[in-house]
Amino acid sequence: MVTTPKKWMDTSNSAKMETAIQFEEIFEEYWSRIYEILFRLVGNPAEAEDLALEAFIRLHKNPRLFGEQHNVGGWLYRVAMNLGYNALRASKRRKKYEIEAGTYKLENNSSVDPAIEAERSARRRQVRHVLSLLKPRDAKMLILRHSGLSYAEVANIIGIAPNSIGTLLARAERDFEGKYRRLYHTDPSIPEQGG
Amino acid sequence: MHPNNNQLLSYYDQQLPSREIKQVADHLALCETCQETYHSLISLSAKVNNQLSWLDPTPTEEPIKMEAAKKRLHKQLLIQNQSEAPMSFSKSFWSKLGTIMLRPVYTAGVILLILTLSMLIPSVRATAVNFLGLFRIQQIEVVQFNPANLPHDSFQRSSADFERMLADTVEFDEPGEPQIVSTAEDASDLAGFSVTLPSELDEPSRLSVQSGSTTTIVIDLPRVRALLQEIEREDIELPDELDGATVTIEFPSSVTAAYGDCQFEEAEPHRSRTCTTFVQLPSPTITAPPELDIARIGKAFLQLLGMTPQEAEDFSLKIDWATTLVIPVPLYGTSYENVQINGMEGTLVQYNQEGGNQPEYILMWVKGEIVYALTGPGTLEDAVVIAESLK
Repeated sequence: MVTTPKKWMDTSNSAKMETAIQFEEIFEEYWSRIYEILFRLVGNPAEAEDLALEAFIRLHKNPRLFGEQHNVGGWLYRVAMNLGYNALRASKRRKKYEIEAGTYKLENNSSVDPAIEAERSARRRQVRHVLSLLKPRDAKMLILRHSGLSYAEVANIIGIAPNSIGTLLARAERDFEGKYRRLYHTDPSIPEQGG
Repeated sequence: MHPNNNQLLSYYDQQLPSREIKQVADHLALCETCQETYHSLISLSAKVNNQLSWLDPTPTEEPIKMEAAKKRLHKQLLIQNQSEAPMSFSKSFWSKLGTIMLRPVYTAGVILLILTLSMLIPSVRATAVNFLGLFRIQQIEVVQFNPANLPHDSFQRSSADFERMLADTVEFDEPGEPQIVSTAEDASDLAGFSVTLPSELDEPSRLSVQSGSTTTIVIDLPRVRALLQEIEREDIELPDELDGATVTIEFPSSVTAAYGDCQFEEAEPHRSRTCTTFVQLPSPTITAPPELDIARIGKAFLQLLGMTPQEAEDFSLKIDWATTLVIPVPLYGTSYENVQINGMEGTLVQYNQEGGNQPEYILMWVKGEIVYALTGPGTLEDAVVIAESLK
């Protein structure tokens, strides 16, 4: 792929230029994927965007990773999952973003049905709450798998053997469902009735 | 043989190696027990994924456009570069010391500590090769001081002069940015010593290796004296031979594991209430000529903290200055005690951070050649439980 080199860094020599191009390619390839996975964890666009940028900024500080095509994605996901999972567990910072997100919704989306939005935000809160109660590894595995990553990729990101992913996922799912049911007295597959 | 849960879920998720797909499919067609297991597995899987689908971004929550994202990234990188590029001597030096000497040693304390280090100088002018005396941390002692006894105002005024003096006389080899690593093994490889992490905590949110650095200080005695005068402690005597003497401080590579919501970008790290950090490094060493009377300098240091000469003498008798890291902590708002960590002696300081009402701790201990420091929110018990879970 040919891309126009941008001013990512001081491009005073060709090695730096090469690094800048590599970084840009990585950014293009992973930006929306990293954003989306972080969005699932933190639940609002502003925070997901900040965290995704943070992951890329950290990558930028490790230029030795740029050339390792097979590793750089795993590294990014690993960093992003740590950032996102920690944010999921930290409740204090969340507030600021939630207020921003709420305002954003109201200002930008007159077509949104308030009832559907209320349902969605209630469900999201519940799901995230349950995720925050799982073992970090379990929560990360569930999100990674749900985001469409292969077992091999999940194994690389989490740092476990690929042939144990199925077993661990099944266990994580049992734990998720058990906790969900205990907390919200409802079967995850049946939509809630009424308010 | 029946396929196990791992194979069944892998089959459902289409993650089975191709050679096993047919095997499992054939077996499932014939085995009713397996069909039952399979169906309960996939119905659970479907339920959970259904639930997780709530988290998927809706069309209004899609990522911002690539060009806009690049712009934002570019801007952030520029900000970072601007704040890092000048990387003034003092900023990196303070933040480094801040990491190693740890937070509650307030700025004044750190300045005192550096002053002490800068006074760790030979009693005779050293020749370049005559560095035999060695300081190595084997023990940690805490000394409390009353900040009210420090000459605050003049300290504030003089700290700029002091930094300038350091900049003129101190050579600090820039250790560079910390390297982020993903496992303790990588950290061990990079840092050159065996890194251990507490099993009591989840995986660190950030694991980084800071390469070692060497600081060389050439004592400019007239300026040190001027500084002492400025802080109204010209009563502390320094021998003339100190002038021009050289002291070398070596910080080996250190490894910092951060847990929870920590921030690293500022020079003075802001630690939120959920941030726990665990630092480990081989003992820093200070080389100075064998003639150096460390005890005398140590006593001068204690006097700077507000002790009378007699009190400094008494304290000094209890410790071996060549192997003891003395950490000053303010008298108010902190408490300290010695604790046992798997049979080793540790020093625990508890304090309330400015504006915070939740206690925080610093627990330090030395095992073999390695100095460990654990900081975080919580109580003595929390700290000890984590420290004892070192793998």
